[in-house]
Amino acid sequence: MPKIFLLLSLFCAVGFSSQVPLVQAETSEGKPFSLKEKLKDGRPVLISFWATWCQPCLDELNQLKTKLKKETAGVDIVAINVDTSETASDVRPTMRLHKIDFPVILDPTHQLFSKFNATKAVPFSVLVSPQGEILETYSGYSEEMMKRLESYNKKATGG
Amino acid sequence: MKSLLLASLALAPVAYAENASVTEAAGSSFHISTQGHAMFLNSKDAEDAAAKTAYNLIHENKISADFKDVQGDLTFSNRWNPNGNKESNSAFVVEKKTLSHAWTDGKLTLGDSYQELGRGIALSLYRDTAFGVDNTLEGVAIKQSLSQVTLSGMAGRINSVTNPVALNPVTNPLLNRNVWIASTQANVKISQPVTVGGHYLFSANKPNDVSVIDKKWHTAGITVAANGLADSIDLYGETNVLLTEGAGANQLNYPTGNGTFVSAAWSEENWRVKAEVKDYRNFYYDFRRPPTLEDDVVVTLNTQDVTAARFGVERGLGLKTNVYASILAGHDRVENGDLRHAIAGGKWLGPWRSAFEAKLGYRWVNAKNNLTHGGLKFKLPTFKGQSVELEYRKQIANKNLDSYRIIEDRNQTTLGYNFNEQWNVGMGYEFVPTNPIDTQAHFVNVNGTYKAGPFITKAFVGQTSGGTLCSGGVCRQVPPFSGAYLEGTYSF
Repeated sequence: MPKIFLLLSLFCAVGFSSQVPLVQAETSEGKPFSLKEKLKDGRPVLISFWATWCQPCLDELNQLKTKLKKETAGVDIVAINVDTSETASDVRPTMRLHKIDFPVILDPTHQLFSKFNATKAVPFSVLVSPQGEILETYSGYSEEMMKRLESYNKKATGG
Repeated sequence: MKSLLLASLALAPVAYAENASVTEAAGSSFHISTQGHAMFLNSKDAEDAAAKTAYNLIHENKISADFKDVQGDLTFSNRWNPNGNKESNSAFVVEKKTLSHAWTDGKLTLGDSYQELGRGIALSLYRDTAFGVDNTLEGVAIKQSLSQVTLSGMAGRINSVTNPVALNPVTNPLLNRNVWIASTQANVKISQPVTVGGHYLFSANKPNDVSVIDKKWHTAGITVAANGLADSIDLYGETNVLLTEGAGANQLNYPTGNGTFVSAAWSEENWRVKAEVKDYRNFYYDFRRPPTLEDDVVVTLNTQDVTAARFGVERGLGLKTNVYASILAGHDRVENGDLRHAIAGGKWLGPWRSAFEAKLGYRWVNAKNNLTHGGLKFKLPTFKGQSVELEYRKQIANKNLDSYRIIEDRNQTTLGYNFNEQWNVGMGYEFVPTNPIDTQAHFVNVNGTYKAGPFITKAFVGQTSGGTLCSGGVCRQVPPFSGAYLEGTYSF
C-alpha cells in the first residue's frame, strides 16, 4: 500500500497540471508550425478550432481579427481548421473571404482536435500561457474570452 | 519508507507551484494532462412498448504525458451496462495507445494514429464522436520534410473501435476481420502555389475464422493542389485506381475501381463560386471518407459507384448577411437513376440585432425518390448577454416511387434560451404524422447545458424521432430515442 501512495505522490510531484499538448504541424501555407517555438516569444497563445460551416466560429475569427491587431496584440493566435474532406475545398476561399491572416493548421482527421476536446464541438478555444499552461478553455462563442484578450492587449500596450 | 512517503508528499505541492512559474516554453519538463467524456444513459426503445429500460454508464478518458518532444497518449473506457448487452459491460478497456516523437521537420508515431490519403478517397482513418467511429492505424507512421519534398509512410493494422460514449454508434466495419495496411506518400512543391503528390496503399484482409488472407487491395493515386492562383483561385484534383484481388481460397475477379475528385473555387471580396466533380466507380473499400458533395440532410450510402457535379455561388451582402444557391447533378449507378439537388438560402440581420436564416432545397432521383427540405432559424438578443433561439425544420420524403411508395413527413421545432455563457436551456418538439399508427407521432424533449471552466455538462430528458443525423459532413439514419442522459466532459 505505501508503494501506491508513493507512486501517487510522485505522480503529483511531476505536475498533474493543465499543460497544453504538443502541437507540431504544417500551416495551410505549408510552413512548419511548432507551438513550443511560438511560446518562446513570451506571449500567450490562443488556439482557436474552427470549421467553414460553423457561423459562430467565423464570427469569433472576425472578432479576433479586429481585436487583435498584430502590432498591438498581447496574444498570438493559431487557428486549427477541422473541416473534413467533405468541405475541405471551402477552407481557403473562406480564409480569403474573411481575411484570416494568422497561421491556420489543417486537421482533417482531428488528430490535434481530439487531444483538446472530447466532444469535438466548435467553436472551441484554448488560451495557453507562455509557460505552456492551459489558462482557460472556451466552448462556444465567448464574450468573456474577448474581454480577456482585450486585457492582454492593454497590458501589451501599457494601457 | 514512511519518511520517504512524507517527503514526497511534502514535495508535491512545492513542485506544482514551481511548475506554474517555469519560464521556459512548453515541453521543457514532464507533464501529464487528462481529458474525459462520460455519459449516464437511461433509454427505452421508442418503437417497442414492451421493451425494457436499458441503463448505461459509459466513460472514456485520454491521458497524455509529454517530456520534451516525446508524447504518449493512452485512451481507455469503462462501460457499465447492468441489464442490457453484456458484451458492452467492461470495467476497463484500453482503446488507443500512442507514443510520438516530433522534431522540426518530421514526426515519428508508434501505436495509434489517425491517417488520411488525399481527400479520403483512398483511405481515411478518423474519429467521429457523434457516430462512435474511431478508426486508427495501429503501427508505425513517419513523416519527414526535406526542402520542397515531404515524404511519409506508415504500416500496421487498422484498429477500429466503436467509441463507447456515443448516442448513435454505427456498426464497426472491422467486426470479425483483420485489415493490415502499408502506404507511402510523397508531396512535392513544384512552385509556390502548386503541390503535386502521389500515394500508394496496400491493404490485406483476413477474416478471423480462417488463417489466411482472403483479399488484397492496391490503391495508387495522384493529387495536384494549386492555392491562391491570381490571389483568388484554388484548385484541387485527385485520381485513384483501386485493384482488388482474391487470395487463398478466394479466387474471385473484382473490377478495377476508380475514384476522382476535382474542385475549383474562386473567391473575391463578397463573392464565392465553387465547382466540384466526383466520379467514383467500383471503389469498394471500407475505410474511406471521400467528398460526397451532398448537403447535410442527405444520408449518403453510395460513395462507391456514383458520378456527380455541384456548382455553387455565394454572395455576401454585408455583416452576417448573404445569399447562396447550389445545384447538384449526376448519376447514381447503385440506385440506377439520375439525381439532382437544388438548394437556396440566406442569412439576414433584422431589427433589435436579431438574426434570421432560411434554407430550402429539393432533391430527386428520377422515378425513385424525392426529398423536399426547408429550415428557418431566428435568434434574438434579449437582456445583456442573453438570447433566445427558435428553429423549425421540415422534410418531406417520397421513397420507393417505383414500387411501394412511402411518405415520410418530419417536422422539428427547437426553442433555446442562453442565460449566459455558462447556462442554456432548450426544448424540442418533433411531429412525424406519417409514422405507423402503432408508433408515436409526437416527440417532446427538454435539455440544459452548463459550462464551468474545464467542465461541460449536458442533461437531456424526453424523446427524439430519429431520422437523419449529420456530423462532419457525413449523415446517417438514426433510430428514435426515448429516455434521459447526463453527459459530461472535463479536461485537466
